[in-house]
Amino acid sequence: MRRGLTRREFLKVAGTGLAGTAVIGASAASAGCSSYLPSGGSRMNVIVVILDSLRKDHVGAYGNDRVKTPNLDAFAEESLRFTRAYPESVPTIPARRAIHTGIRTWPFRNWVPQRGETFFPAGWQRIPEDQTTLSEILLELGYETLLVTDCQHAFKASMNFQRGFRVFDWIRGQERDRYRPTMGISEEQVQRMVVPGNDDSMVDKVRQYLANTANRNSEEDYFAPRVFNRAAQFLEVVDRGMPFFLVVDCFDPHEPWDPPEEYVNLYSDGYSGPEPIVPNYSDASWIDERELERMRALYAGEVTMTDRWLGDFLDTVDSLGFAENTLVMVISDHGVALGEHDATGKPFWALYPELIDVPFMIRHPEGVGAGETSDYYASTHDVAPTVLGALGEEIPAAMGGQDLSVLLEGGQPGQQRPHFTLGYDEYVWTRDDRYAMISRNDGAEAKLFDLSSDPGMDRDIASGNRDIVRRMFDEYVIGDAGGPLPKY
Amino acid sequence: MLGAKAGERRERRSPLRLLAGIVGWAALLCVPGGVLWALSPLGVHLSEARFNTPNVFWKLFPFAPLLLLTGLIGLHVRFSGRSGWLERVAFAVTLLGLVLVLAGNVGQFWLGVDDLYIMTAPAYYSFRLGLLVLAAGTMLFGVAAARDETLPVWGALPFAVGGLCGLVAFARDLGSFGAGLWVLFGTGWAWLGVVLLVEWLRDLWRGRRATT
Repeated sequence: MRRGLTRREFLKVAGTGLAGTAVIGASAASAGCSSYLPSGGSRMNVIVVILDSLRKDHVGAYGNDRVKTPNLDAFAEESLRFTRAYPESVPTIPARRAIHTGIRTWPFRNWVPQRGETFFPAGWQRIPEDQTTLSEILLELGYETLLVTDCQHAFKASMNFQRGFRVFDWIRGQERDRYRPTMGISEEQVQRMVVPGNDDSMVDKVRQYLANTANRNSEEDYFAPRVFNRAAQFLEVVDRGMPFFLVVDCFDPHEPWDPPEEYVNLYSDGYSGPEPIVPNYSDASWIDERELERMRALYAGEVTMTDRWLGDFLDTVDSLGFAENTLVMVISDHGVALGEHDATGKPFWALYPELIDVPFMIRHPEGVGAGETSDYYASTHDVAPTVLGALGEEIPAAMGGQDLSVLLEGGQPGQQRPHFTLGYDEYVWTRDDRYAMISRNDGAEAKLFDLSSDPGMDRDIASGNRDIVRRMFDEYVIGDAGGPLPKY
Repeated sequence: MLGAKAGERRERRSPLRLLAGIVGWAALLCVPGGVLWALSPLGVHLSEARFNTPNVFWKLFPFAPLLLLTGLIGLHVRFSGRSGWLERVAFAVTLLGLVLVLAGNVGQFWLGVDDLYIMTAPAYYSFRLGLLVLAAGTMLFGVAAARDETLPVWGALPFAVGGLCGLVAFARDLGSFGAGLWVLFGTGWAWLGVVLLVEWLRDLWRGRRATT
């Protein structure tokens, strides 16, 4: 006997069919789409301040009570401060590549030396074409992207640092920038700004620098003031209708160190003689103790001047009302040796605290993490993922850096870092909670330091601890590099 | 006796009652509103394919909640006098949800409120909150309508289930699965409109048969 469908059965079948069709149909329709929900929500402006060659031990917030950095100290009180921050690589260009891409540059595989450069450490090359920068990502997300810098190494168009910035502004004339002809600079002028031990390369640097800066009239014509004032001008005209990402890349307090006299007088008096405004990148045998003291005072003065203008800029951030909706990060790319460990400048082998310890601070607009510290091994390649993480945006898998913004809320980054490794040309440095080790890329010339009793890395104990050296090299250096290191 | 009948006719013809009747018919707008809502994932897809951004679709999206809002008010007017307290609460919650969704969408995509208040993003969060309130109200409304017998169970329950689907889909982005649930939410509203239409047609049919 045939029986028709009851209403209940019909509804059951029809309902199930409809639901299934809806789920499958919508799945098909939404395949490839970003989301069925609209995007939106809290957005922050982002400011990343890079201070080149700022030593951690010259910042009050990190324990220095001699060098005056009141603005950095005040900023630190409002920020999460990293006590064990290191660049993943040294010097200027590799460190910046890591900052802009979130990708490690060390161990400098496939290094292509750039024609026309005067400095050739491994890794000193453009941002590769296949790597995406943070600014490119944020531009895509609707951010106004702005870069102002006087870092002459970075603003060569072939270096690719301008990629993704809707506006970029180069302030010409730093260091060796071939900005003004040197013919008008007398030898006497040059000799007043070098000491007898300076090598020819450094003398050339000073000659170019003097030509570039010959027209200075006041402190505002110095580089740090110009960079921060230009950045402040950006803020004054920035479109309030869209969030912005501003990178303020200040080459100071990198040498040459020639701050106005009032800053130098804070740290030196009674000195007469030629000014050691540039260091040789070598051992310290070229400079006598009196000149070295003066050089330290010049550097300290440069730090204080930079701090003063950073403070002016941060005041502008506050006065324009951006403090309440802007994430601000301050980081340095590396330090500089001023006679410690018998080194000056940035010789490849001098991977000691004065060269590799960097300040790194994050100020969240809502004050989370303010005044706190983290001993996570934070680094330059963490900047980009941290910015994206703080904005709640997806972090590309290619970015090997960690989202440090989770630390602001008391969380832990996804990657534990029981040790950290960095490289500078053909030298490597690695550390864990107990030891630090420096060696060449092949493990030769290894030095070992017990950080628990010797945080300044002054007493080499490698000879009695070959097993520890071997373990650190094999497990940390080769392990992190993913295989033997390249030789150039 | 004659006077009472004349009064009844007058009441039936009074402008207020006429207006209520028209508004009551507006409940049928739940059908196009629900269908438009259900087509949203497709709209997002087309907008991204054609304009490289989903925001063109989101600018057009308010038509869906606006139709639902009008339909809901029509429904409430239609049921007035028959609905219990739970249904009245559900109506208020659903209405609030729809208003929040509308205000949030218009604020974000037409007025650019979130571009001014980038940290608090009031429009976006109004929209997201509105979705949740709307889904909760929908569930409640379905249950209340079944309980108060203002709708047949076979009409009210799928509507309530649609509300549940919406609640899950709106809470967080669940990818393609969430898009499917989003569609079911819209389908629930369209179903409600269809049920009303069926009920009215049936009443009409019965009325005509009774008069013949």
